[in-house]
Amino acid sequence: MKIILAGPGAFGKKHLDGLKNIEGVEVVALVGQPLEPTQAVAAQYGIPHAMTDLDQALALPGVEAAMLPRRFSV
Amino acid sequence: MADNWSDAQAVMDLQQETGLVCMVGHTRRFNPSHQWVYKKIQAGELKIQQLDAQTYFFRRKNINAAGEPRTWTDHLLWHHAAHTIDLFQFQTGEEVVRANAVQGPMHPELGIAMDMSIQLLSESGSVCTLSLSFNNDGPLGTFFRYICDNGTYIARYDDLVTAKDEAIDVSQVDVSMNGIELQDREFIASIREGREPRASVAKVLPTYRVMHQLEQQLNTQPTLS
Repeated sequence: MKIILAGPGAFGKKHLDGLKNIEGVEVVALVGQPLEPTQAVAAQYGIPHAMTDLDQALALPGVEAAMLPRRFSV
Repeated sequence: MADNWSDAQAVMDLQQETGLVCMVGHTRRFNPSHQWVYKKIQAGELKIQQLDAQTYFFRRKNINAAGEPRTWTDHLLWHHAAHTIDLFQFQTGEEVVRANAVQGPMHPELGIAMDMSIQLLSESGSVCTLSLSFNNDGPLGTFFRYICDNGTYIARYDDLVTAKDEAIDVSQVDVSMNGIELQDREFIASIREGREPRASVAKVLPTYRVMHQLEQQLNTQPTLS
């Protein structure tokens, strides 16, 4: 299952650590602002895309789920 | 999930419109420690008389759990109290029928209350006493004392001890000892199986209604001199 995760902060990393143990789950994009630290966390976890825009991440092909360990607005 | 009642309702409405799995990060429903207590309650071996919870941080500047700058401001009621109110309703399996709150003065720069005290009563008489502070100079985190008819237990995140500080083996409670991983497993499994997750938006919504009531009560609190 391809998923994206928004929020590369302290708790985002805890989720990425947990997700590594779950079979068949692939984090395809990490969303965060600013871009540079988001890229660093993505590189650390082998996540192919780092981006600042949530909609852009959701539009990636085959994404089935999003995890949002951050504050967000509906 | 939200920092006000109308946004919480908006998430619920969107879930109903789309029919998608929507799960809220109330990790305490998944920590092995709290699950151990939950299973005892479900088996009829334990009833909570009082849940005493302390949420303590030293957060006089806007930084995250790793000490890095944050782009948002944390909140004692809509974030930290949310976890405990949700846990209390989850563990008792009951709605909160009475709720009280008082708070200390607003921080001049952060614009939030730094100290808060909350009391809850469940339908059958379980009590919850929650103390929250961003002024506590350690230890940091949330600690729970389950005072029950048949034992007293203290939960610290994934770990559980008796009142005499004897460790309880929670390794067989679930497939992992990591509450965040267990929560993530439930999210993924509920999508794969097309079912409602343990912390669905519908299941946690009563927590946000209680917080809304508490917020209204706090708004009537006299201005502090």
